[in-house]
Amino acid sequence: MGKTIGIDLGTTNSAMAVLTGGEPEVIPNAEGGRTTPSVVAFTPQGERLVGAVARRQAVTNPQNTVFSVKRFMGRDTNEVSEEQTIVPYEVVPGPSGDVRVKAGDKEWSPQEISAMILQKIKQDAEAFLGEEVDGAVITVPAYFNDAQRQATKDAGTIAGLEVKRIINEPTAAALAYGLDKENEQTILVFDLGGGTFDVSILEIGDGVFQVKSTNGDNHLGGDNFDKAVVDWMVAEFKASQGIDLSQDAMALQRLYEAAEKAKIELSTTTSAQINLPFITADASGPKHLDLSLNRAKFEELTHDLLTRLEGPTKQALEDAGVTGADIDHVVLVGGMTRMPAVQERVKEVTGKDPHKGVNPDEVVAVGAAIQAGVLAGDVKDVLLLDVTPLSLGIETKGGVFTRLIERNTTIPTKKSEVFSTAEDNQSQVEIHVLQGEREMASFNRTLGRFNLTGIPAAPSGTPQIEVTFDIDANGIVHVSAKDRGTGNEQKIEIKSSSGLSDDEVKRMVDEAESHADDDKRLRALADARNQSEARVNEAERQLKDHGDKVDEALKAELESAIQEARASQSGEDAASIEAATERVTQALHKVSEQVYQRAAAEQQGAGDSGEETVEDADYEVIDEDEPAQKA
Amino acid sequence: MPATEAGAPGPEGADQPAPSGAGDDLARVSAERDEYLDQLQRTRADFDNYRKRVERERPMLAEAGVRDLVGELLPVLDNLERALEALVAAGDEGAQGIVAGVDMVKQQLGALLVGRGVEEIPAHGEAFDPNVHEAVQGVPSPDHPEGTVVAVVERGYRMSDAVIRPARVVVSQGGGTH
Repeated sequence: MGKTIGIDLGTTNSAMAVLTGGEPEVIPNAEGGRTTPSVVAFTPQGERLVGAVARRQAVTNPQNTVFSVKRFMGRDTNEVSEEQTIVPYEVVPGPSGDVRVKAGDKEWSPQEISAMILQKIKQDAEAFLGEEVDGAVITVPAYFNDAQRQATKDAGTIAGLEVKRIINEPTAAALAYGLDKENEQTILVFDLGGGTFDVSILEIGDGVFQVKSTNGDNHLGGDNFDKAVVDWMVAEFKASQGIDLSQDAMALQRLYEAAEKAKIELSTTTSAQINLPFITADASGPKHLDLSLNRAKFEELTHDLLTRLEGPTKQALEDAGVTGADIDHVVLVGGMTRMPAVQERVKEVTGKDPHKGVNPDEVVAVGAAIQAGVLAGDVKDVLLLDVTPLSLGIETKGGVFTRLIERNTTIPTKKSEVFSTAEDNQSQVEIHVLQGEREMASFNRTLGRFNLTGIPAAPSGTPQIEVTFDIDANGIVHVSAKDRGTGNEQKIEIKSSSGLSDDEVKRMVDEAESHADDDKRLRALADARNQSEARVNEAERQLKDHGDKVDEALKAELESAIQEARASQSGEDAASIEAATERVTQALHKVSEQVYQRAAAEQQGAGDSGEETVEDADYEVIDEDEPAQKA
Repeated sequence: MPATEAGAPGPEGADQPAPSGAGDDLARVSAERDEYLDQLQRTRADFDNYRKRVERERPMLAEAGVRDLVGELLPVLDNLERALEALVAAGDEGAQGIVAGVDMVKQQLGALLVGRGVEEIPAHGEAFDPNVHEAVQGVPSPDHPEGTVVAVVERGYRMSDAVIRPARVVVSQGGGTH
């Protein structure tokens, strides 16, 4: 039995995805692209080309290059008079008045052309997965009628795919965000792609999606935004250089590429630099285009386009009999929805922040893949794997939160780490189990605590205490601490590691983000203090053991460095603690050097250089000291 | 539907009123076992295939990283070439030293790319091939057979057979109208 994949068969581009181990994954095509142009061409040599290759030769072979065939799926010729005039290939009526496309000296139904695209998708998916692909869930616009849906299904069959289901694009997008698990919710799906704009209002109840209304604009998309920027560049250049670039095909091509790049950049930055050196030349020499476009200007240039989004959105709400306030979820589809001003327009109407996380270019294919997984039996509630909503760990020396299990780790999972004691002759350690994202233990949530006692007397850092976190499939956390020396063990079981609502989890994650800088500073301070204490302890040990083997002056230097370091530890500045620690380290180096030199002199033996290495290694170990338990 | 005993959730959707007998239990448990085994096998198979694929992809991914970077560098190379052309066109005697120097910079960058396995896609005078060429314009040309590349607008490059950027070309449409 082969795989079933999800396919977003788009007007301009198509995309595919598959569910692997319960997770959706976008499948790249043979050329490595994550989307495939929905273009089919027939060459004069009788070859058939699909995808980017077909698009590349469109200019030289326009009559035999078929794009946007989706606009003709399941339609009669008398319904498509407008579309027919836009495309450069010939559209003729079939035997029953249905649309036929004349290309490569043959007449093709739109189903057959779509099947060629689907065939490439099938082949590329098989090459990528290393498995046969024989089933598909294909998406269609919510407004597609029965004939259009049937035509899409037929295309799949012709391509050798068993079409398990035809689902609506907005429904697929909602599925990608897991909204099928919600109940009695109203969802607005806002789809602004390369050339089309669709708004859909969905209602979900008992796992069933219902389309309440759809609206849109068949000829509004990212291409219009690019053109607005190009027009501006042409006007600016004409004003400054007096040359009209719109008449120069080569220059225009560069302008369109630069416009798209700037547009994409402005989704994440507030200003984009457009540099096109040697864009043209006149009698006075070469001319360069060097412009800066900020976000506000870009929004001004595209103001009319942005305004055109409002009408269909309002109409869709009205047709569904709801207001913006009734919308529970907003889902964005299409690359153009990355533009902040587009998102703002949606928010103005609905008052809701959109769902984020899935690439808007791929969200429909991802949703189709999830549906495909459900139909193939890959997704069943019994085996849905959960994740830990927050990180789990223990408190270590200096109030630091040491994570053992990072948030979003799939459970069941188990992890161990070895810790040690902070003080000499420490006979017990407290294991303080916490949950959260903050760097310091005190800001996180305590899940439980217990003591491991009976640790035999030993210098600090010597005992090995293995702490193990084991979360089972039900989310129950088992924490154990074992003294490797004695085999003594203590454990605790924590029933609900979550016990937190989604909102609480979100709050904790948000807080960690907003306090990230403060936490980093506190963590650095704690680390510096720990480091300082460890170094001071080591220095004191050296003084005790070898104090008689070094000069008094050197001994005094180390002692004063130790005192300074001690004093610095109570301060709040990590840098000055580190500086004081460094002085201890320097003094310690000198002391060790002298100790070894004298020892070597006494032995009068060889192997000086070898011992130098040993000395260095010795300090390394101190540096890498495991965080020790708080007493 | 009768309430099931706490701690022992009944099969969902089942609505037999009587408590199920041992035989039914066995059938239910067997069905569950089969389902779990099926799930386990699917997951194992998924993971196994995933592992194989990741292994297959690993060497390709490293190359894809280089390819992405090269792709972003290409416009810089293009502009360097444009600069050189403009310098040569200006024909300033005094600038000859600068022309030679900039040309060396271009060659330096070119050598770096060649060292990474990047090669230029032959285009001028070749038969148009959409696998590696992108037509930006068609022109009537009595001197060239139809489908021949008569001009290169932007050079194309590939790396171990993968096209980083197709060559942007002007294609002959044959004799035209005499």
